[in-house]
Amino acid sequence: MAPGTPTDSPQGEKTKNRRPKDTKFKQQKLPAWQPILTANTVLPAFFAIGVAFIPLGVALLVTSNNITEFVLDYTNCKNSQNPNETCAKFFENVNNTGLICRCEQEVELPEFKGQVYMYYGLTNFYQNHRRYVKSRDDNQLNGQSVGVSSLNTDCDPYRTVKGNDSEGYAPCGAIANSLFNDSYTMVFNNSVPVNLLKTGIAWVSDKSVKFNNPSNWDHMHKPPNWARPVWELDVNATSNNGYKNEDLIVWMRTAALPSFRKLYRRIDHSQTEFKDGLQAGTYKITIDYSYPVTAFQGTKSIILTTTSWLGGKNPFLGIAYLVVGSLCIILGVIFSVIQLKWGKRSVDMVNITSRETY
Amino acid sequence: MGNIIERGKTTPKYRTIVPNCTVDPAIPHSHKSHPNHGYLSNKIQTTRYSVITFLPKNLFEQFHRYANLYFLFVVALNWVPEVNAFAKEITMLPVIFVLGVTAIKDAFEDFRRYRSDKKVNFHNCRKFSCIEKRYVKTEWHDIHVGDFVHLSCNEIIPADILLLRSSDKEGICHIETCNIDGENNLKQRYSVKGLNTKGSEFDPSGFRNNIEVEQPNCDIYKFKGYIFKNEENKIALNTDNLLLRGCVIRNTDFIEGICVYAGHETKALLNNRGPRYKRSKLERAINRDVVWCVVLLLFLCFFCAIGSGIWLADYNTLKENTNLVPFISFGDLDQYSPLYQGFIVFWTYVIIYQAVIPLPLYVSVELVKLGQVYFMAQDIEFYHPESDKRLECRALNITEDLGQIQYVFSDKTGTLTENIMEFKSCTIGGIDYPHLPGEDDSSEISEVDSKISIPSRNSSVLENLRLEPALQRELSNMCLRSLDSVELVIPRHVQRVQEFFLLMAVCNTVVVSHHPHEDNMDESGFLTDPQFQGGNAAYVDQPLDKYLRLSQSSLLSVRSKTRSVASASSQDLRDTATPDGSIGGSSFLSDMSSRTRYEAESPDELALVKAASTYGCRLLKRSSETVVVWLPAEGEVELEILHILPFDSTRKRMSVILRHPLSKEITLYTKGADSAILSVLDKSFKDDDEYRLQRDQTIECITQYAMKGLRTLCMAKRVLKEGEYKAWLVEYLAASATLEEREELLLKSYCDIETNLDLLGATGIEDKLQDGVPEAIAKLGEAGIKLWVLTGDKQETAIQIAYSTKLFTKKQEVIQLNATTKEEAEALLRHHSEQISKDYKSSIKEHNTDPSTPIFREYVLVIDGTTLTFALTEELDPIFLALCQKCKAVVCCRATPIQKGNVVKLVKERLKKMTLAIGDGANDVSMIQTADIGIGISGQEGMQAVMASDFAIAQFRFLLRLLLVHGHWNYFRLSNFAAFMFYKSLITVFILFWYQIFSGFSGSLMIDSLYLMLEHIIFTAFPPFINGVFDKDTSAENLLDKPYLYKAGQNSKLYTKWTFGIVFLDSLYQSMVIYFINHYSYTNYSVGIWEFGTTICVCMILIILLQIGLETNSWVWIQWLFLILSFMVFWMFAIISNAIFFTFDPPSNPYWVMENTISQAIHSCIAIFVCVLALLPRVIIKSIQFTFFPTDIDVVKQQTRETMTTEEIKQDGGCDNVTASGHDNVTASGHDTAQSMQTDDTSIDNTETRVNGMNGPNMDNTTRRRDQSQSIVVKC
Repeated sequence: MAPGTPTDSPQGEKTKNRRPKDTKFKQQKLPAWQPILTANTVLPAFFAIGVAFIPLGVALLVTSNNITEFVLDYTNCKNSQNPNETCAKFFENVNNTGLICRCEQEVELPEFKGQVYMYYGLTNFYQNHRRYVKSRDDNQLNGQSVGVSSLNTDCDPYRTVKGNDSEGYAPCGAIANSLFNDSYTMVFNNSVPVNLLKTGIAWVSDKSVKFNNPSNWDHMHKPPNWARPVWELDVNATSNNGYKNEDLIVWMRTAALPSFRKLYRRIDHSQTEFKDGLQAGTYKITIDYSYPVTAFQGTKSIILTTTSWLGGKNPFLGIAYLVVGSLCIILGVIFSVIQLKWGKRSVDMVNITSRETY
Repeated sequence: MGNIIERGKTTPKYRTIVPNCTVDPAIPHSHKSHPNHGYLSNKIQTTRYSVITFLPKNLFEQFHRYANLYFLFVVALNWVPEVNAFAKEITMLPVIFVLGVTAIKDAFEDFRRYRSDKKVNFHNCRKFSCIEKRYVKTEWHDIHVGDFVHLSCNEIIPADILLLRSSDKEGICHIETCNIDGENNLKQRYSVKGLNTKGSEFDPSGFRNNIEVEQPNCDIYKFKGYIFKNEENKIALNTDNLLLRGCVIRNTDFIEGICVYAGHETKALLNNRGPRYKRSKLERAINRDVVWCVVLLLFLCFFCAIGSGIWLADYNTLKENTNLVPFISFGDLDQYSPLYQGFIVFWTYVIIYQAVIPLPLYVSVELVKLGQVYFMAQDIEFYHPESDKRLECRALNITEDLGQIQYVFSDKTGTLTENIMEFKSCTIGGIDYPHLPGEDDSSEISEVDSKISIPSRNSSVLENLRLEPALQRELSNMCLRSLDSVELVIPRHVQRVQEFFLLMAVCNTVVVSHHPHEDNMDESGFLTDPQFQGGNAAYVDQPLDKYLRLSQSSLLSVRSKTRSVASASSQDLRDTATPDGSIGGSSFLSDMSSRTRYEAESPDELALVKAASTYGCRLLKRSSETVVVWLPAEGEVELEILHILPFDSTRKRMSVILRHPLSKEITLYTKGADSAILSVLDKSFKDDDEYRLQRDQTIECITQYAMKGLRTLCMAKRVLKEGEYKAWLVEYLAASATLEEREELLLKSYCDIETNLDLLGATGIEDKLQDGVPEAIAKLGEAGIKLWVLTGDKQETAIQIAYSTKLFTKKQEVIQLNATTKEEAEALLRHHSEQISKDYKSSIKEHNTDPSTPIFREYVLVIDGTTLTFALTEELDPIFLALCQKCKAVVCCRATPIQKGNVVKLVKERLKKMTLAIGDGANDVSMIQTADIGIGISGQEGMQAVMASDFAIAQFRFLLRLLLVHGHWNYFRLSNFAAFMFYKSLITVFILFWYQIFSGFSGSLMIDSLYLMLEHIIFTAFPPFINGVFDKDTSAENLLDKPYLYKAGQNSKLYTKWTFGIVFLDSLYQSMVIYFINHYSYTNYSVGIWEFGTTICVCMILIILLQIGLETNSWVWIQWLFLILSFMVFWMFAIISNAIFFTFDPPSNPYWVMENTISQAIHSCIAIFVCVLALLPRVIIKSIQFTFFPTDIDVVKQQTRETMTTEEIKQDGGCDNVTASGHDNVTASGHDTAQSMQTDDTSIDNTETRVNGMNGPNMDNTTRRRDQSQSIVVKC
């Protein structure tokens, strides 16, 4: 306050009572619970965690083990037209796609019970790379009439055709351009083709809200790596065509980790042969191999798996629960021993130490 | 008027002021043709902003902080397309938040300033209206340079005013300047003399003279100017004519003057420095850790940038055509060279990892402190009903320093003591009149008196004093003699007694006011008729003649009445000869006491004058030339004051030279410190036996008084022969006329006349201790706080106070350092220093042989001002400090304000200790400002100490609670808070870091940037804040009961340099758990980047909140509420924001992500597991630490819990007494030992051995006690 400022005192108006209010809140005297962490008090918590975690871990492990999973790495599968050459080699020298290297694999499958899903798996594919993740235009995919010039610049260089601002890619960006385009067919016992369902593999929310087709495809071109434009992705079913194509939708939801799997097809269990799952036996899987992965030392695989409430086959979480559960039990035992042997003493020690220091 | 035109260009040294009445009133003040137009008006504006300038100005100021600049830089960086990591708009959220909060705080403060300005500007005062030709009511802001102002007694001066007229006939006006210089004695100002007003009163409308004064400057002791009477004649003006803004008119009915400086050009405002910015110790520690954060940031950025380069290089060498790698095929190869990418990515990482430096740290720490300050000010324990004052926190940013104080420097007078002086005893002519505390007969009187004597500076004339019967008898004898007009030879001793009281009454600067000062002009400037103000005839100083006569006559009547009363009571005395009643004038006194007030410079003088008047020797009136006293022997006497030789610190005494009206005898009366008087006594006190005896007896009495803790003053007189006086007068006048060395010459002339004194006697005045001071000092000692008393008082008194406050105990050895030369001081210091170390060594030896010997002898140090001067020199201060550290307490007496400040500075800077200075007077300001924390006692001695302080309390004892309870809590809370802020940002950044390894060091984020930005400002912001304000490690009762708990803060145990390391490791571990559990659980799972990030984010926020829970010591509903609310807010925010489709924030586009994620069982499985695993180590370590290595606080917690359980048992079992006593035993024993175990900083190396030796018996003791208490419980 400035020295020239009159305080309330000289004017003689000092009748105000400045006594603070005596409320529990203002005096910070609210009823409080003061827990203290001692060997004694954490002991029950350890046992409780142990008791809860071990059964949960067992349940998780059992669930994971009950899942049947078959993985076929076909990165280096043989070109069926030229058995001396692998498809990987075939694509090493080919820059432009559109060419297809077909390879056929005969596999012995165990019995799959229940709903079976077919995934494709890629490794070493950094779909989570910052620039890659950004390289899309959600407005365009949502079917909003985005002018070519107003496409997300993060899509570059897959935004406009050769820098021409009136001609753009549909969909733009690196994600769309690198759409996984291998296709699989599966035949049981060389006679019964397994029916693969193309729909129901994407999130319902994506399919119904996020991805929509625009009113027209004017000035739009297919991305450079694509064989067909987006509006011809599934000419047979309009609900699965254009941006609403579920393969595209699944691909556009970029994976978290460099090794990932994405849902490719659902097995059609309406077929009488496969109504309880997949029968054990020999299956011939034909792969239209057109996605080069050797450039980044990646691998490709087909995964057939049943599913559970937990998702895929992964014993990690179950084991982790078991380990930590057991650890807690052990800790509980150790703390009990401490408590029994030194518990009473430790309280005394408490007092002595206080004296020691002061 | 030529001056006016030239002003501002050629003559900038002076400004010319034209009375506004000479100017056409139609011309506004601001208009160019107005002669005073260049000067500021009296409107003050201390606000920094206006509504329009607020935003740009505030932002500009905020960006002066480095942290804000850094974050601005990060935001700007994010707009570079190559680099950007977050959505551009979202990155600005935290910065806007921080700037916004700070801006709101600033705006609020500015608004408060605006309101106080407004209050000041709209104060009422009266200025002369040139149109109405009278004073009219106006407001402060409406005063302009050149206006005439009229002020009444007790009014605050609105601007710098040239005094032209005062109600006093001599033109004297008294002002109190404590608002400006802190000195709260009354100062005299004189109206300008020599104005040609023909002796009649000053008339504003007739005043047409121009005034020329200096340009505004900040020197409050200098002022020069002239009033132009006509072309040739000018009257010089000096400081004595100027009334400064902010001072208060006292003892003067009214004054009138012309405003020469107004508003911001007044000296008071030019002197107004802004508040100092203090940085707390904890904040310095935090800043150090912020530097670690910067190091970490740079490391992470470099690491990731290099990683990015290597990762990219792998693909480049693999294939020339990177277009085949779909996730990095973005055009030109050159542009994507590893080096270039590494560089780009480095900046991206600067953005991503920006949170390492906790952006909201500073602003939230400030907010926490604000909360703490609020609750401190609300604490009812600090409320002092007598003065109606509570804790006042003037500094907002050093609350936690209160918990770390190591040294307390205290003033004595007014801080430890009440600063209410009570006359306790006196010795006259060698005879002691001890004024023993009376028996029952005194109770009536003292009760009656105590009602009158309010502890106030200008209270009634009666001292709450038990009259000494013997002294009463002497005085009454004298009364009788004079009344009966019996010409007897008055014995020498009786004469001395009368002289003694006369001296007490006149040798001072006390001002008498017979009535409350009243102005006969009302607020609106109209003259009121005094007759309507009641017929009470107390208007002695009434300037209007007709009333003067009336008042004089009434005074006469009073006088005659009192005479009769006095004689009557004397009659009684003679008849009964029992001195039970009061003597002579006391009834007269009680009659007058309701109207007469003494206003004194120092409380000592007030006590003396009051005591004298209680004995019937009464000061009635004082002007600059005469003093009127009522003496028991002579009745009313008007003595002529020839000179007043004021007090100064060199002579340590003051004198008055008086001429008796009848005998024309010239007498010099001197009072001062004993040393100052005894050294200048007459030769006969050496030679003559009788005189020497008297002198020795007096000295003995003085020593005794000092031992009792009384302040002593010696009284002496000298009868001057006419010739002697004349000779001296010549010398004196010559001295006062010289320009150079005036001070020295005056001093010499004073000393010349103050010789050959006749010793009259001495007085002892008690300075009452404040309530609870000894207890508070004892507890501060237990808390390990060293208390130094720095006082201006004399050595004996200081030592005595030290004993009575229990600062010294009888067991301790007092080392007194009194040296007169530097060599002597050095020798003394060295000698004592070695002596103590020798003593320590020898007692260690003894100790080893015989473990039962008590602890070392303790030393306390007393040093006087002269020795301190030498000790504070650069050569000697190391020895001095070393010696001080070996002593338990230090008392510096006779210390000057500057020395006080220097002592504090020495300890603060050399020993690197946390210092606190507490004081109440202007002489403490220096140390209050030097210390880390300055505390002002809002007591009696002005406001200067409070103005300079960081906290103001009403009583010394409140310091205990302030430090031990609030200081401790604040420190504990803020340490936890700061550590938590670091933890929060580190864990977030580490989680992001782990992901970089699996995303090619591309700067990819799996957590939606919106969550990341809101995490620190919303989702996890409130629970730590709540803890920072509400959490308590233990109750206030425990902290006060066990002062040793304070040491945790004192030794900075709660926030050490390892704290950051622990936080670092903890967050590293937890982030690894969070990330890798998620990573491996989601392997072989078709998981998208955003679902992955959502689970991680949920885990992270959950763990941060649980961690706060673990750190919380006392849970009240507020904590529960905010903890649960925080998580719910995040959860609901995620769900709701994910349910809305928007493409505002590419690339995350989180539509339905949260819903999909939480609907999967794996999400919950991971979250639960991660929480348990992440917090497990902390729980284990904490519980082990609590069980095996408890801190003092832990022990107290444990004890509290046991007490509670015991009480439960007690309630169940119903055997109250036994258990209660058992419990008391335990706590009491703990307390005792704590007290006996006080150790000294310096003896730490020795303590080890000692403590080990003492373990044995103590342990037995405790176990025994514990067994007892337990057995008692069992019995129940």
